[in-house]
Amino acid sequence: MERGLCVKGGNMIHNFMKLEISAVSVNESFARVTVAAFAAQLDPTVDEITELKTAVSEAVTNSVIHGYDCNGGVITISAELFDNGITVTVEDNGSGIDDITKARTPLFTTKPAEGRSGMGFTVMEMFMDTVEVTSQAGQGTRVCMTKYFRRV
Amino acid sequence: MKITGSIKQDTLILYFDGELDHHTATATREAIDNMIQRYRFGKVIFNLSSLTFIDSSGIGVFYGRRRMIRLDGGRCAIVGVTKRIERFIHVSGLDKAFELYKDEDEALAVWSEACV
Repeated sequence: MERGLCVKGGNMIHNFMKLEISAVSVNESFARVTVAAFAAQLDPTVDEITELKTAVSEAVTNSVIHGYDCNGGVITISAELFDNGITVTVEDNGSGIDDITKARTPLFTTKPAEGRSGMGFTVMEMFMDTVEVTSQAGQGTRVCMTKYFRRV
Repeated sequence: MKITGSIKQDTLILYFDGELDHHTATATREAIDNMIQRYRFGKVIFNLSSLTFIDSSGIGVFYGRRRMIRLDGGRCAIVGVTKRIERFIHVSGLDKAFELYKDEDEALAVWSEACV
């Protein structure tokens, strides 16, 4: 797909952004705040912004911890606005996910000893309207999520 | 993330000021554990009124502390949940796992009644 973005059928592309960051934990807040700032031009509610930030934080954290096992790497975040929402894609070139269904199961974690809750994907699913995960062992993982902003 | 503690009615009250994510989780966990071990009251209140962000990394922090406090026969509560983090506290199940009160005064009042 063009520029590695998810194009949602029928919706016109108005605006997009792309951000490449080091996979280090200090960048988790940078990533979520940046995406939130980009989305702000659609005038979402405070709750919608909080939900978007939380979902982005989960995806980026997954890449830092699981994709690259905290050894660093590159995370690419792209976002695309359409008239009533945003599609965000978080991609890494890390270890990939063996079993995506299992990874998406609430409370499942491969790192229980490190105090991980296993709720990352569940939070993304609760706070976004769609979450698609594609992954290949040894190649990396791509999480593509869409959120619609409800106009009041 | 800044964590400060105060003591009221033999209860340790911990105030969280900042964002709780994977980046701040380890330091947060260590700060909480240090204070709990130092004071050993068994009763701990987590005041989240100045917590501006929390994601699933925070769930692990709070569940872990709850387990530790309960193993020691203690009791813990979460207070001061603002609108900003309310939905997350609900989605994560923290509202079911913890005693939840409006503020620390309410928690202390309930706990002191229970002891009479």
